[in-house]
This record gives sequence, structure tokens and C-alpha cells, in this order.
Amino acid sequence: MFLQQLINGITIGSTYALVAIGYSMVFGVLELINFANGSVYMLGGYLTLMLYTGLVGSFGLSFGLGLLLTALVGYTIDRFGLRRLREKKVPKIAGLITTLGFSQIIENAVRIFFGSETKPYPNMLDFGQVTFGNVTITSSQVIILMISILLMLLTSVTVYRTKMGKAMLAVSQSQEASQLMGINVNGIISLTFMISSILAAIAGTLVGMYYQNIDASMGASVGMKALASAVLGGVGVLPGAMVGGVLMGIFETLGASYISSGYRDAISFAILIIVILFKPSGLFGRKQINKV
Amino acid sequence: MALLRLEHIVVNYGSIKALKDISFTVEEGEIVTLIGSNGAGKSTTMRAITGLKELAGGKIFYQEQDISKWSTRKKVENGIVLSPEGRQIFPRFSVLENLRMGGYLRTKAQCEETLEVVHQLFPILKERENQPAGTLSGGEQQMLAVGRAMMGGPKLLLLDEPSLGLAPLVVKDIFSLIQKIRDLGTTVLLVEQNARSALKISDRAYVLETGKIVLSGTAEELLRSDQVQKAYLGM
Ligand SMILES: Nc1ncnc2c1ncn2[C@@H]1O[C@H](COP(=O)(O)OP(=O)(O)OP(=O)(O)O)[C@@H](O)[C@H]1O
Ligand SMILES: [Mg+2]
Repeated sequence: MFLQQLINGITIGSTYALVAIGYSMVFGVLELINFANGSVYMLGGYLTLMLYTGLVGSFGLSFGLGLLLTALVGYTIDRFGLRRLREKKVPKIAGLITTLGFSQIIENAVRIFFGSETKPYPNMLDFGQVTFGNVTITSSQVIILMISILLMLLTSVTVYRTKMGKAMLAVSQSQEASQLMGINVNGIISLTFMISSILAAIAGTLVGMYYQNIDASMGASVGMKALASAVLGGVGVLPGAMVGGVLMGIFETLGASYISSGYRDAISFAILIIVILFKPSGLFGRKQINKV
Repeated sequence: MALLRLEHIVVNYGSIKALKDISFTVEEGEIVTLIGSNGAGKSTTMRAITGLKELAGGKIFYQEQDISKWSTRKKVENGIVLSPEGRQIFPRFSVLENLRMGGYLRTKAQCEETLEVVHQLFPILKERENQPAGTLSGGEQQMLAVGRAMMGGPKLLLLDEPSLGLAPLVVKDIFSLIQKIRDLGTTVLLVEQNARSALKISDRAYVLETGKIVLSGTAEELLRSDQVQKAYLGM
């Protein structure tokens, strides 16, 4: 029973981690919470489904197109919503409201264009399951976990090992100094938004397949949980977001099964609050090195 | 043929007119100093040259090309590199990572070559290469900022108050280093509060007051000028 719940928790947690990475990356680069990230997650799931059932017919192609479109949405949020605010040196709160606005617009648009009822989702990851004693692992769980781990590795390598990643880390420390190095700061910020959107969209599609349904409100609740995961792990450090996401998934699954499913969200947030009280910078957060 | 020429530069911060008609030139191989009291517009001039601050009027020429509308990136690519006021190093990067960042637009081979020169000029940056830059002392950070700018392979190195906050002995070092950098073939435009030391190593200088150039001449002329002696040399 415990092991089963643990496996379920890790599976769903690994998708939270993908969304949490997005919050963490954007926060790292802009010191801004991109509230639209949760909606982008939901949108990603929808676009794949709608392209698949409505137009394209091939799931793989729909998935690819869906990712491309969500990347474009991520780009748009920054390019047309936030860049101007940065240039005018507007207080950060304005940008925060802008992302909240985009979140509402995306959610509303999905309801208008695709309807607000829960939609069935095809599970392309179902190749059976294996049972050990009273623990069952489905192929979907294995695949979701593998894809998530792969994406986390890929993101980590990109951020910590490539020139582009170095530029991201530089921008997160000082935009002006980065500009003076010859870094195209706006380009790096756009890329950050696109990467975080793609990760969210992949997570949205995986979760749609896992639960075999999708609805327009899933972005809001998962967005909050993923944001909480990023804070739990330590905002701005990628491994923090990853571990935070998985822990969040485990907490809520165990909480739901051992205490009550009604407390699912409350339990995980209560744990978050307690961790933050004792470790304000999150589990993996760095102590601030003050800029001199 | 001037390496850099500013023609009637005007820069505003909202309704504040920070630069009102600035014109000057920097010739290849020179050290030119801008002196002026706080708020005169020295840093703004540097920011305008590097494209961090947009112009409200006037033109900037570099190697006789109009670069007024170029992006900072393009300017860096073409050899105009600023070590900014207040250093602005990357605090979470190590010393070496900071230096490598300075060579962001250059090839690995070019970076390695310049890195050696920088390490020769600033041995401390080699000793401390793995230390997070945010934990360096102020003076070490200043050297890192200058070293990082050199990693960009500048033809024209802009230094905004490189001696800020340094101990008198280290200040002497910095000025002799600037001379060395010039002797290695880099043209230097320098902003300094330390007017005397700066003038001593400079070829020419311009005096800024509230966004205007009020005096210019060779370094010796300015060192001898009554106006400069009273206002900037404390005599
Ligand atoms: N970001 C800004 N917003 C508004 N005004 C500014 C800004 N930056 C500079 N100024 C103003 O422009 C003028 C010139 O500033 P600048 O920084 O160029 O002076 P400076 O000569 O470098 O002075 P210091 O020797 O103190 O560094 C000052 O009056 C300053 O208040
Ligand atoms: Mg200044």
C-alpha cells in the first residue's frame, strides 16, 4: 500500500517537477513569478488533444505541433507582455499582474474554443502493467518517469554545461553586466520562457494521458503546486525544483491515502509552510551572496 | 582618424538632461580621461558610448562608422568594451567563470590567449580562480572587472572609475596597469575621480560639468590649469 502510493506520488511529482523548473528558471532570470506557467501547462495538454482529434490525426505530430505552439505562447508572454515593462524599468509587481492576466486569458480562451467540460484523453503510453505482490506499476508510470528524468537531465545540462546556459545564469545575476559581455539579454529571456513553456506543455500532455482526461481548471491547481514545489526546493536552483516537485507529489499522494483525499492539497501546502519556516531559502536554496 | 568621435551627444533620463551636447574624440593608442565632479555625466557618457543608454541626440562614430544605433552586443563584437562603475561582476560565478564570460563573443583560442595576459597583469585572479567572485574583496573585484573587460579583446577599453574604493597603494598599481594595457595596444577612455593620478598617465583629458565639456587639453596642460587645480586637484 505504502509502496504503491509512493510510486504513484513519484509519477505525478515528476510532472510537477517539470512545471516547477519553469517557475524556477523564469524566476532565476527575471525575479518574477510567471503565473501563466500553470495555464501554459493546461494549454499544452489541450493543444495536443485538439490537434490530434480535430486536425492532424497523428498523435506524435500533434504533440510536436502543440509544443511548438505553446513555445510561441511563452515567447509572446515575454515579448509582448513583459519586455516593454523591463525597458521602462516598471516595478516588478506590474509584470506579475501581466502574467496573471495572461493566465486568465489562456484559461478563458481554452474554455471558449474547446469548451469547459472535462474531455477524455487518449493514453498513448498504455502498454500494460506489471504486478509485484500488491504493487502495480503501469507502463504509463514508467514512461512518464523516464521522460521527466530525461527532460530534467537535458535541462540541467543545457543550463549548467552549455554556453547558452551560462548566459542564462549570467543574466540571472546581472542583466546590465550580461549586456556588457555581449549577451543578447532579451534573446536569453525569450529562450527561458520558451523552454519553460515546452516543459510545462509536455507535463500537461503526460498528465492528460495519465489521468485520461483533461479540463481547463487543471492549470490553476497544478500551477500552484508546482510553484510551491519550486519554493520548497529552493527557487532559482534547478535541482531544487526537481526534488521539490517529486516531494510535493509524494506528500500529497501519501496524505490523500493515509489521512483523507479531501486534505490532498492542504497537506502538501502545510508541509511547504513548515519547511519554509525552518529553511526559508528552501531545501536546496543558496544563501544569498550579496552583490557588492 | 579618430578611433572614437562623439558629436553633440544629448542624453536624458526622463526630464533630467544628463548630457547636453557632448563632443570629443579619442585617437588610437591614447589614454584619454574624463574628469568631473559627481553627477557631471561621466558614467552617462560611458553608458551612451556602449549603448546601455539610448541617445536623445547627436552621433557616435567609431573607426569613422556611425555606431549611434548599434546594439551593445555589436559594439562589444567590434571591440568597444566597458568595465562599468561599481564593477558589476557576477557574484555567483567563480573568478574564472567571470573572466570567461568576458570572452563570450570570442573563440576559445582567443580567450585562452587573453586569459594568459590577464593572469600576468593580475596574478591574484589566477590564485583565486575558483573563488566565487562575490566573496572577493572590493579591490580584487575591481581587478576582476578590468580583467573581464580585457577578455572581450577590446580595441577601445572604457574604464569607469577603476580606482573606486581601492587602497592608495593599489590605486597606484591600477594606474600602472592601465598604462601597461595601453602599451599592449589597447586604446583607453578613462573616467576618474582621482584626477591627478589619472592625468599623470593620460595623453589628453576633458573636463565635464553638468553635462557639458568645459575644458579640454593635453594632460600636462590640465594638470597646470588653475581651474583644474582648484576644482579637481584640491590645490
Ligand atoms: N538612471 C538614472 N535616472 C535618473 N537620473 C540619472 C540616472 N543615472 C544618472 N542620472 C543623473 O544624470 C546625471 C549624471 O549622472 P552620471 O552617473 O553620469 O554622473 P557621474 O559623472 O558619473 O557621477 P559620479 O562621479 O558620481 O559617478 C546625474 O545628475 C544623475 O543624477
Ligand atoms: Mg559615475
